[in-house]
Amino acid sequence: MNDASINKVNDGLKSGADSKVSADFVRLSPWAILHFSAHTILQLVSNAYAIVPMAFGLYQTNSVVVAMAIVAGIFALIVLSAALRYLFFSYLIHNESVQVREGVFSKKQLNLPFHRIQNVNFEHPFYFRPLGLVTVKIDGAGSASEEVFLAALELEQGEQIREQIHRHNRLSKSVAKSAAEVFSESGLNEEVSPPPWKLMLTRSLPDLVLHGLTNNRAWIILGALGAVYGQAADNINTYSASLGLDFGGLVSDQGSIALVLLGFSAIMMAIMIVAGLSVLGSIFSYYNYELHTSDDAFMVRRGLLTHHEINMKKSRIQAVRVRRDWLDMVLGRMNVVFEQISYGPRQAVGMGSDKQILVPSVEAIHTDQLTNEALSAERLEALEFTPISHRYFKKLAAITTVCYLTISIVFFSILMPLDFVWVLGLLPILTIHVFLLYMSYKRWGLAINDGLVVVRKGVLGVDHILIPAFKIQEVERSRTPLMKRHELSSISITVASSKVSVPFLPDQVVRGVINYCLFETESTNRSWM
Amino acid sequence: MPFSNLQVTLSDLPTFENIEFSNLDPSYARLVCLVVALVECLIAGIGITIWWLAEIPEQLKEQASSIWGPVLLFMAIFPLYVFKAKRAIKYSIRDHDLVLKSGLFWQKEVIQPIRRIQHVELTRGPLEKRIGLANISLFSAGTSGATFTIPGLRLITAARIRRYVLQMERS
Repeated sequence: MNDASINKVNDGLKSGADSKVSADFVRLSPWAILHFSAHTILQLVSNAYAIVPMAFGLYQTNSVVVAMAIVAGIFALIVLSAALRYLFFSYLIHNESVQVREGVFSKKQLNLPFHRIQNVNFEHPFYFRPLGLVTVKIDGAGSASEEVFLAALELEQGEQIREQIHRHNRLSKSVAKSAAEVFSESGLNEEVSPPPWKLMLTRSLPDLVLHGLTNNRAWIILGALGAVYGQAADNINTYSASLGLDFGGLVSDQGSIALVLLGFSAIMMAIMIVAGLSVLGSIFSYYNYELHTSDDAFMVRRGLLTHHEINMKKSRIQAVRVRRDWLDMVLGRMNVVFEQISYGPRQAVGMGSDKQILVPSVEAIHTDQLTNEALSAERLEALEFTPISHRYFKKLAAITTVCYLTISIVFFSILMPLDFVWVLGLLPILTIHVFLLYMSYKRWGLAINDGLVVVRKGVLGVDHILIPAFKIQEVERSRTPLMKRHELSSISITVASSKVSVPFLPDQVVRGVINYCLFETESTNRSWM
Repeated sequence: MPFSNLQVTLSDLPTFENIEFSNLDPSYARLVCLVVALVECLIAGIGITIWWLAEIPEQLKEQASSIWGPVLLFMAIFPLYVFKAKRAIKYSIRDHDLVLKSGLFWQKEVIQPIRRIQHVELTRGPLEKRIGLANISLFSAGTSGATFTIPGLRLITAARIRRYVLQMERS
């Protein structure tokens, strides 16, 4: 961080004193205007707030011509601003750093030394593909603002830049490793030659469809609940009718039943639409998925309209998540996520995120290969997990029950006496809730294996989070006096990509894990980056 | 015992749980307690002003007066609680990490390895400045700016900790 600002200052001085340096700054190709326009449009689209008033405005104007004119005007504005951004954007790759000047009104200058660059990724958006152009995305390790897009470069040029950066980083690494080796000519050549990529995994269309379906778990669960509820309601009605009770008549007349049915079918429709969208989204972003591996890095190619090429050094991986939802469990698939350093709130997993690599819907064998390749981890199944205390479940179940009781008492006293069915209706929901709590209690677990901390959690599905013990940034133990009495405590482990907590473990285990993590972190000189 | 792999090495590892802790400067807890009490008085003052000036229906006034007791009790207890909680904060510095202990009910121990610290910040509010206190914040690369802050230190102590951390980081 300090490093960057100092560089920035230095550069400002230099460019002020020596005009030769600033003369070397070059513009992008004019095609970059396309990139800037697309960027603005994407921002507009992702900001629904901006779209809604615009659409409303268009809707209000009665004349088609006026509406067209407005649309054209907006479009012209976007292109104009893109053109301005293009005109004021210049970059320079010099002195082992990437320098960028941009900004129409407020000037910005960024200096990103090679050694601070985390990834160099390629994007081939559909509008550049016929031209054979590429957008190079350079990611600094510092913060979110250290992101550089060099749009519309020739592919060769892009590859040259990437090679330059990678060669520098490989070289400096090998210098650190052993100076002698670098000085001998042969050693240098060996170290500097680009690593051979090995194709590790591809994903077919059916895999992506599966991924699209399972990734929309919220909606699918809702749908399942709706179906279950519908059936249960039917059963209750017939059952109670056989007892001579008529809940249907008590709760609702024919009209409201029709309303309920209408609402139900509307929900089903919505679920189908959203599931369809999700599958489409999955295909758009992961089409032609290819995962390549080399000695020290992963490379992913993916995308239907925009081709992405994402590079990630294995040493940058902070944690590996193996996610399985209940639908994944049924289908025997897993989603593997390699997490890198991330800033701010955690990004949504999946679409378009470059800070992590997601391998969609892989089979169990591949998962083991992947985790082994990334962290040289053992098979997940072979690990023995320390479970958490049953007191966790009891505590949550008690709290939940009290909450439900309070709610039902309030309902009962306010809506009394006609709708006491509502109180009964809470009972199955409470049962399901407590069951889910039980499941989640059963899922929690923690294991230590060969330098790795592995956390298991989930409710109906299972997630495994693998963290190299020497990469922790911070550890935390917390407990209440009650937990203390039962020799229990919770642990939180923070790495640069996320924070993972496990509640209600035996205190002895928590102490052991913390001491182990600290030992691994503090006794070695291994870099976490 | 599913934990056997660790148990073997565990006995050899340095432990964090049996270390000596230092207290914060006692004036810090008093200061925070005082500030909380002052803020309470301010809020109470505003409340009373509204009570006198605004046209509130008699019925509402009667209803509101029934919760006076608990509110007053809370207002009396809260500064005391804050005082106790601030008094419970303790810290410790080891060769390779810093430990911060806090919490009355939810007791927390956070351990920050020095090797992972990216930068150090010393901050002082106007009141803290007046009584010679300072806070030291250690930033690591954890998500959402994971910070490790030891509040209420004497300025000399804070500066000494900063020097130590920077020294250890470099070596």
